[in-house]
Amino acid sequence: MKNILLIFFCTACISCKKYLEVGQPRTQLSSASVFSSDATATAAQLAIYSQMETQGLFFQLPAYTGLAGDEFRNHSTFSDYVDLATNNLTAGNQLINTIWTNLYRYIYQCNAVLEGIDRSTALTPVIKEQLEGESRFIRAFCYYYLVNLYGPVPSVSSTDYTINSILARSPVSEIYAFIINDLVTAKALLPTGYKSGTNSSSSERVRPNKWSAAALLARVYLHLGRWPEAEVESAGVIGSPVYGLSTDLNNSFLKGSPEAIFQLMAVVPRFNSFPGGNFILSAAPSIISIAPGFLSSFRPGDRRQLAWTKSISTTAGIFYYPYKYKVGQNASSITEYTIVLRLAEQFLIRAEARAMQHKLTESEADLNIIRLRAGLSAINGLSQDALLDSIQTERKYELMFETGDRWINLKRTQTIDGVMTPIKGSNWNETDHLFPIPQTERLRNPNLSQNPGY
Amino acid sequence: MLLTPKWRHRFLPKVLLLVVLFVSLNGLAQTFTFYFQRASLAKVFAQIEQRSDYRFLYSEEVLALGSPVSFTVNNTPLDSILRLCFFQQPLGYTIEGKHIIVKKRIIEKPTPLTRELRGKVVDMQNEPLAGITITIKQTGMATATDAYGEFIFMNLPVKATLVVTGGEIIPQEVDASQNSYQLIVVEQRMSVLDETIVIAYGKTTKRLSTSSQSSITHEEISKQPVSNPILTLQGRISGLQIKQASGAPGSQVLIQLRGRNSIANGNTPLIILDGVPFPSTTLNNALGGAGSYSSPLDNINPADIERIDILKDADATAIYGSRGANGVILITTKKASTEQTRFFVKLHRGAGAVTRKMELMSTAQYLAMRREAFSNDGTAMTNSNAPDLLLWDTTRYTDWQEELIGKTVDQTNVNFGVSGGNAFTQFFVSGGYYKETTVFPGDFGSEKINGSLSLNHQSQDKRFTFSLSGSYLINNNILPREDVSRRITLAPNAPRLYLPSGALNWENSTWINPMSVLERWFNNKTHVFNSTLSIGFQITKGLQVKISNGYSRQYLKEHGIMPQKSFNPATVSASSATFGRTEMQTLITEPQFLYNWQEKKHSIDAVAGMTIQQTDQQSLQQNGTGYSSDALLYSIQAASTVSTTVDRETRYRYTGQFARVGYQYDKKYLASVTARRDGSSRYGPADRFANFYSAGMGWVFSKEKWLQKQGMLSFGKLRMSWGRSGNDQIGDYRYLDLYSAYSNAYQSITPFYPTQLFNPTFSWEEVTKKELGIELGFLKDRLQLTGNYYRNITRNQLIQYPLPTITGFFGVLKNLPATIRNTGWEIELSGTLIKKTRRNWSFSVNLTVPRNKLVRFDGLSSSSYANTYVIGQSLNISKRFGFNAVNPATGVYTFIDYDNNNQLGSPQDEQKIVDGSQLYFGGLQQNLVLGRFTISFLVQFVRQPYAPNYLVWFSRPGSLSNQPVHVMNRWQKPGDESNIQRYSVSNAAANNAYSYYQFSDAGFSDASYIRLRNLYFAFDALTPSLKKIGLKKATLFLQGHNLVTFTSYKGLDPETQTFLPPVKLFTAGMEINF
Repeated sequence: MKNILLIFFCTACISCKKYLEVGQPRTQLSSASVFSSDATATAAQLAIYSQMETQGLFFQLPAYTGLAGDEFRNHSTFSDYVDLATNNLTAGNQLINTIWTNLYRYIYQCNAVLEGIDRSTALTPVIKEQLEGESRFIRAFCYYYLVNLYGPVPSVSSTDYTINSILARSPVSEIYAFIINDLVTAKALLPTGYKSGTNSSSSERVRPNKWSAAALLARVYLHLGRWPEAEVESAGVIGSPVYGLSTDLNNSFLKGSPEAIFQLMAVVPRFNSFPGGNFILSAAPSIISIAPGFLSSFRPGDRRQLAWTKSISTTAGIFYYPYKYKVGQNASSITEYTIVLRLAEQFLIRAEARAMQHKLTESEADLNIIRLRAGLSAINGLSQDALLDSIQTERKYELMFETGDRWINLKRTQTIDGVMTPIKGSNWNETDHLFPIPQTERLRNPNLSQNPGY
Repeated sequence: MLLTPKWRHRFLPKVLLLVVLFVSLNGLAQTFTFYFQRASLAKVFAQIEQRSDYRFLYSEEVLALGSPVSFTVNNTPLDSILRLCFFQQPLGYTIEGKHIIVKKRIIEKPTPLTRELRGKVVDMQNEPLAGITITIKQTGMATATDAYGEFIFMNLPVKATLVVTGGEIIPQEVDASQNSYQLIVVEQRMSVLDETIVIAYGKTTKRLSTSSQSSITHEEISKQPVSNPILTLQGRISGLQIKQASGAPGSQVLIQLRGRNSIANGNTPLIILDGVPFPSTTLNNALGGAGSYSSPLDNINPADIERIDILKDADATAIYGSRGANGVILITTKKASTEQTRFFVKLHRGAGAVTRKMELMSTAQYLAMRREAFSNDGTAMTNSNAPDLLLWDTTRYTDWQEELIGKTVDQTNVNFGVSGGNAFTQFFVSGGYYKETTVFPGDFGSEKINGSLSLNHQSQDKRFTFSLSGSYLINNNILPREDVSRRITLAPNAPRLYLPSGALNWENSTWINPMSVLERWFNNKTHVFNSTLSIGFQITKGLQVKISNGYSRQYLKEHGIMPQKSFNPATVSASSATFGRTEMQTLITEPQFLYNWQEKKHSIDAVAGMTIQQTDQQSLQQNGTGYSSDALLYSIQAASTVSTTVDRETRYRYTGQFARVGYQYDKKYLASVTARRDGSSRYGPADRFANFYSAGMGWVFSKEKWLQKQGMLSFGKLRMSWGRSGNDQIGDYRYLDLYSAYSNAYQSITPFYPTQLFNPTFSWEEVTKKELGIELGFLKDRLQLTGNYYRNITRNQLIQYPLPTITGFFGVLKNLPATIRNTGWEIELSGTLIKKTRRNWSFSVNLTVPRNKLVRFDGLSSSSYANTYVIGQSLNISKRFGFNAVNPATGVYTFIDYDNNNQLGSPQDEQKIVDGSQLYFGGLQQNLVLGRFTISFLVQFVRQPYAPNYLVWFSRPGSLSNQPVHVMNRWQKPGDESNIQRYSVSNAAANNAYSYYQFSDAGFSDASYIRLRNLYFAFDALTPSLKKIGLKKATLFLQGHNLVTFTSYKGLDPETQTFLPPVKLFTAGMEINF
């Protein structure tokens, strides 16, 4: 009897540990099981795109930089918007915090995918390459905006919060090296065609491909003044038979637009692109409308004014809003996707890179493609400086209200102070080039320094 | 001794077992295998002697009388073999030690086998005693005395011994008189201190317990007309705070024992129903009725409960280890116990209304306010800002409190049961029906039906015991989705509800007809099944092995609708329906060894065992929209769009080994030690196991010689306890690196995203509990006083530790060096002032003075709790704007500008601390028996200086919303000193000031109250003629609940505060026993 009891208790104790292994909830997946099949690993990557679309990154980037810059006018009385529009930002600004938080969340998810596929032995090699390429592309994309909006930022390359939570800011040059490394790798890994959610080839351009990586790489090289490399990368994209400029400006932002290098799919039922849903006004604006000064700067004959902006007449006055995307909320069918990268920018990059290398005729040819489509006349025989100025002007109107290009480009060309001071007056300071590092981040990470002026 | 945790884990239980299992297996339990064919008794005896150390003593002559025997036995104990040998022999035997003496059997003359005996049991004062059990020792037959102390046996053996037992008497055995009538005089038990109380895995008495514990029994429970058994504890138990969230039937109840221990995790006590953990927090998903979730405890029928024991200190709760941090409430249901076939039925029916209403403005006062507001602001009245003045009939008056929460509640409750059996097997079957309607207009309410069965069996030698019980309850609860009490702010001249055609009146879309809101209902249908099976076997005299098993299942079906007809037909609307399903199943098994040993003055009681538990929970909730007709709102398929909002499945497993050893010396020195090692699947693999332990000591100093000579103090005990228990109410799977489905499909694929940063190494929140208690009995224990001081410290708070978002998330679940301290005094005084059978007066008072304090919280200012808590203050505080006064010049509220920047900002100016703690609470209970009448009542009192008041949902004075009459003391002209600002409709300064006012300390009022919680008046209607037809009990009674409330609270009710007040109920009923 005694023995039986002892045996009973011993086995009971030993089996306790095993008994407590409840596994994972069946309605969720553990990280290990996510990366144990091609389909679920892909689903982890797709989540980033779905979130980027629903969480509004492609409204926030143009809207917030456009308020801080010269594209938009503020109508909100909410202090976070007022401070942003008057370049009076504080480190507690929730709008600026949102962009920071979202970008770092996508970086975390990319890191999780990279670590997950690295550990996994069950994935098909080609899927591994595809996912690694996509994650590296998105990570580079996020860092490009972080470094341009906030200056030096912490370089997070793993999911380990014990390391990440105390990271200090890395110099801008290191971040760029990191971005280039990711993009070069991504370009090598990704296929030239587009993939669907099931990793078969797709006609939709909603997952990044080789040319997406090249297009972003071209932009980064341009940013760093590496003209020959910028020319090579943009030329690669332009040379790809997949892309072409639609002659009708009204078709540029449609889903499957031949101009699109990478789009985000519309994922909310009855809701087209997020920027379309939020920029288009149906009443007097409560947040933003196009700044009157920006609107009046359009040159006569620029068809982009008519095609890409629109007005609404209300009792409070006439207001203008971006109209690149033409469908607002509650649409009966989905016709538009959010554009992340498009071909027109590549012509502008190559034009600038060529001009910088004194290939002026080739540069003019690139620029004229953009000008002619906009209804402007072709240019011819400009000096290098005049050509470069003209390229910047086209950039302003071609890429307006899209992903904050104007704000970043003015800073890159160091013309921002000259542009902003007349518009913003005494509110404008040199320290306004960079957004503040969010206050809560600094409270929680003692190694994080603040930008000057905050 | 330094042991590594691993070593302790592996060896401690065995060491304990070795102690427990030190038993002899010799004796009559020895078994034999024999085959005899016509063998002489002498031969058989020789064989037995050969194989055992028993010796037969007999004379040859006597043995010669016996005849040869034939039998085959296999592993049969000796006593069975002896019975075979002596079967139908003219011989008999007796066993004395190791000797079996064989004698010639004396054949008795046949005598009459049975006879009739009547009798009466009285106490020393010659007062008859009712309810005394009298058992015939020889046959096991039993009966009980009636209200006159009388009993009768129809078939009494000629020679019989009567065993007289009862709760309040000292048991005795008497030989049945040979006459047909017998008077039995019994001595009443000295004290209630010797009544059995239930503790973890066992029983004890108040006298000998080393732990802190309170209990109530079915007697007190049955006097209260409530449907949730937890509410029967209100005001009766020191240290226990119970608060109804709302007066709607079945609504959630907040239960807290000795304060709040955890910042971010569960704070409810562990509730154990017949050994099976029972959910204490709601199983509802996103839905709820009348603004409150439902309480799972509402699904236990109070009439089924025998007693509820509340375990408070470390000595009582540490044996529940990781689940014991917040205290333990043990609910024991009624079990089969009597042999006689008994039938009882109890029914009552009553009516109720809300406890309290507010004094709101009349139409004239209201219209005057509105006009003054318009003239104050110089605003022109338009059809849209003043429909009440321009469009509506200004002569109408509706008491919206009467209209919306004024309906009479109808409560009906029927319970019945049958019990019976014999000395070895008893059963108890009962059933109940309960119905309670609501104060809302319309057909709302809760309807419950339940049945239960209990079966007990024990073997003839009483070594084997078996008990099985099961119960099933169905609760169908339909409530409006919204707490309509929030709409009593409607203008008193608001339009009529219905058009003459019977359709809802929308008065040209100038108002929201409150009856439309009542078309949106929520139906909660719950099925609860509980069952337990317990098997015990007495191995030796002191050692028993027992295994208790339990299974419980809760199944919840939720259905809520928003029909088309609940929307103004002039506006765009969309009907929708929500469907939910939750199922929770718990399976638990607890093998245990119980051991007790006594020698001279030493006594040891020990229990050791283990727990294996699994709880599975599944939840699914779906919303359907786009219905073409309201008639289809019952079908999810009829919806054109369906979205799944909850889809969850969790499994919780729990295992532990536990032991408790109690030692007593001369019932004077008491000691108890408990230990538990627990494992929980809620923690990561490295931190699954933890050890919990406690020690308790008691000193019954009244047994010391130097106290024996006086007569005042009859009992005195000092006790102290210390120990540790843990809190595992943290939710499941939080240590895992989990991905969840993202609701927006991408390329037709459901994406998966990481939901949390994972920290696989977080560990248990631990509470260290210390207690010092004194228990005194005066005048032969007729007056008893208990005083406790407790000090519980919770460390290792498990909170979402804030992280910079560069980590991808806002935080990670982590143990923080944050400490919470709960201290308090508890005093219970009870006594019996008059103690006669038909004249009895007893009372009890309890008082609790609790304090809660956040002692330490590293990094509070950078955490998400920075604006919630303050170190050195309680966890019940709110930080609010500080209300200053009404500016006499502008007539607008002003507030304290803490940061002196001349503007109000949140959170920097929300620095006024209001502490919502209950400073003290308790109850006073009286019970008076006078002849055939019984009167008892309970008065509950609570001191709570700050609780949210009506401002939470009343809009600004002057707006299109009725107001309490006291706002008429408003500021009217410059220079006025007032506490109420000017009436206003559109003045921005006044409007802003009012919204700050709502979020200032002025939004809190004193919610202290004294309430006549329970009143019970009964008349014993049992007459001799009723007795003749077989009635054992006939009682008529009246019950009152929440009848009178004294409070200065600004709002509806100080208990439910900003929600629907509890019901004030009056019922009448009767109870009959056969």
